[in-house]
Amino acid sequence: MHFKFAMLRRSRHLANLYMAIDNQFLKMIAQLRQHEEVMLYGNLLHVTQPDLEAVIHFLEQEYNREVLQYPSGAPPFHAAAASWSAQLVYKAAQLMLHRENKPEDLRALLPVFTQEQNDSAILSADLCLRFIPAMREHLHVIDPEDPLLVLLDELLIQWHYSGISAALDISKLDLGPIVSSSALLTLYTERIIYYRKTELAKHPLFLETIRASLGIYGDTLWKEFKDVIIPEP
Amino acid sequence: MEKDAGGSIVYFLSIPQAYKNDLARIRQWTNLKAGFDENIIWIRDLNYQQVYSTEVRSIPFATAYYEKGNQLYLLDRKLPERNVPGLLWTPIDRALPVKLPSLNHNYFGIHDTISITMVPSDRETDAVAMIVSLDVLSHYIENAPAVRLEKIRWAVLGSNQAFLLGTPLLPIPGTTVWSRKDLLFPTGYDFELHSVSDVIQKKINPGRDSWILWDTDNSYQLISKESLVPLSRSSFRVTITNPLQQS
Repeated sequence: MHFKFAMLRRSRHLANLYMAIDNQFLKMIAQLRQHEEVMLYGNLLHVTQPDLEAVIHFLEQEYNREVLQYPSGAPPFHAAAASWSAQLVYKAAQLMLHRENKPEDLRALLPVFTQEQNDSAILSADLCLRFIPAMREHLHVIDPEDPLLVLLDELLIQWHYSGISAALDISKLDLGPIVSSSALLTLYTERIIYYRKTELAKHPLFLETIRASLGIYGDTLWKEFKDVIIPEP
Repeated sequence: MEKDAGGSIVYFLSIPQAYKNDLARIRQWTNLKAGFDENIIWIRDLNYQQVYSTEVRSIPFATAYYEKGNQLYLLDRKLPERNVPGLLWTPIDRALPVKLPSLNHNYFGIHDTISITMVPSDRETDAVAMIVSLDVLSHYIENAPAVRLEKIRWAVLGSNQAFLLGTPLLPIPGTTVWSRKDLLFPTGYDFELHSVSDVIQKKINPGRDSWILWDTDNSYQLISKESLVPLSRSSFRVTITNPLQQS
């Protein structure tokens, strides 16, 4: 399986470094992070502990590189959330290609995140979850009635920072964790502007932050924003 | 431009051929057209402001008319003087070309030099770049919205300043800069002889691969265009913590 995702372009100087390793899980996650494409090397739903630890280590390095780009006050790396999200993306990709189970069993195959969803968890899980909207689109093209779609939609509603690029139902989103961290709020706002999501921008929570980001340059930076939002008197 | 009350009155000017050179001072008005009669040069399409300007009124032996119904009236007269001459009208800057004087073999001033000086200028220009101190920039950038940073390219200047190229400028204090081709001047300043810009540009920067940043003390520094990188929080942090990685 070979998908190309055009989102959040990043440098590729580490490319191929992980390709020689005999760890299919790590190979898949590294390929996803560095080339933004899904490569599966066999139908393996089970992940061993050493493989998982290698992936967590890799994601921690990736997180530390991304933190450079975050505003001040960025939370620390959340190993459990990163590990959970990597497994989830891995298994969801496997299920897109190899499906030997009944639709009712799908939910049981995907791992569940049991800890508190705070800013640290949201940003660490986003390392992998940000690819879910693109995977969801591909799945929708393959089969719009796939039961996995429902599960992925539920997931994105819950982890909506990673799902900004997808058209989510805003009334269902829990924005509590976003507001509690100023760094996350800034990043959330930036992603709304990056994807030009006017529906989210209309939310009173983001209206002010986006207006503050654009300043008096709304016309040049994001023209539609001004047309959608009622201008200030 | 302010219009006369009628709005559409066109003024004419006539001058004997012999005084052709006196038209030099109005040649810069590109809206004018010139036509050649036998002994008279006609200028048409002057507007109200131009016909009463010092430039026109100080031309000797010139007669000004206004036109109504294809007839010419002397200024402030009510009776027509003559008809509009039927001539071939050409834009004045083409009708009266500039001729360079022939080579002066007795000119010995070829070793003369001019000095380049910056003077305050009252011409309005748009700032395209700014120079800020790294301290100020680091305070701003920690929580700056990324959408404002992504339009900007930057480089470190010396030990404690940053050069930020791109608009909209960041809302932080600093020196703003405007550009004429690859020359960058502090806003409000220009060369005393601004027509030498092109010569200087060719001399200092023949490949056009650098920005030439002028200071008010008439000094300049070259900033290679390739050395500018997109501004982002990570670019700034990596540069500040590992200054050696830049090279």
